[in-house]
Amino acid sequence: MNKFGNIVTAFRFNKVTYYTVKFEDEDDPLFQKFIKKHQGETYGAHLAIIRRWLTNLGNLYGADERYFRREAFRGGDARALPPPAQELNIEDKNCSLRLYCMRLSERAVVLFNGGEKTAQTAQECDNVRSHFLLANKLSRVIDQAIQNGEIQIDGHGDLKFNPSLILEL
Amino acid sequence: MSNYQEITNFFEQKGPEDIEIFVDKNLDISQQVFALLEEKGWNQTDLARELGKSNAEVSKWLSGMHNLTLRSIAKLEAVLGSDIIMTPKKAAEKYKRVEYVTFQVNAGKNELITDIDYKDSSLVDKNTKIEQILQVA
Repeated sequence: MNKFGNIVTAFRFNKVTYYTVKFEDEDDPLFQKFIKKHQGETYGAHLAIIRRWLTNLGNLYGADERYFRREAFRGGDARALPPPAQELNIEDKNCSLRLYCMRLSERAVVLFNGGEKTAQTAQECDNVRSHFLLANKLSRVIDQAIQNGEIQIDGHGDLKFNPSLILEL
Repeated sequence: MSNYQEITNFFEQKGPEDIEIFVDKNLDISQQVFALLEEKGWNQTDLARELGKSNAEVSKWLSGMHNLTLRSIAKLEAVLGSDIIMTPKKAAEKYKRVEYVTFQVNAGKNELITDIDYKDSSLVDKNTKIEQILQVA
């Protein structure tokens, strides 16, 4: 059965607006589900990194391509945060939390869901595989909506779309 | 602000201070390196070559999430020929001259109209035209 959802504004900063996707049959949009699931002690430090990252890009730097991890798969254009790094240990643990997203411009990013990556690749990981695949599927649908002119990116990088636009998966 | 309260709350929360400082400084360094690359007309491949590192390695260094060592920063400063980080004390000394150059001008008449409050007399004298002062400043 197909799923239907809308793009909704998650949070607006000076330099970046973060969007997310809300499916019709679910109460919470994807990014809110990610927050709810990972708040608390276990992922607190990792979530703090992602929050600070999103806030700094939002307030200071813009969503430059180099600040995202490439997670494109099967024609999708998904990205993830945080970007790749070595030797980043927090309290002796690697930062393994992944937030999947789609970067549309310097000023527009769609945030999806994510989880703790515990295997070498996202496809091999039971925690993130579904989020990784959904992010790539959604990115294909959003990309198609851009090509159809249903979502427009203006000269400044801001999105223009009808809030009632339905994404069908 | 967001229509979703949990998202608003999330962005209003503070995380552990050391982690926030780590992210802030790392992004600052990455931004500074890219600004220097632009100044020199280099791209990331040029930098990798100068450092004797692979592109992938340098990409990680500049991701803004790499736990850069002081040694790595020193290597970057050496090949870029410029400071990337500076202690507040050193920065204050380096830019001290700027805080002494204060003067009042009447911009409409192209002349100095009051006593100039400056301490570095080598910079300007009272007969200097505004354009010359602005060039020096």
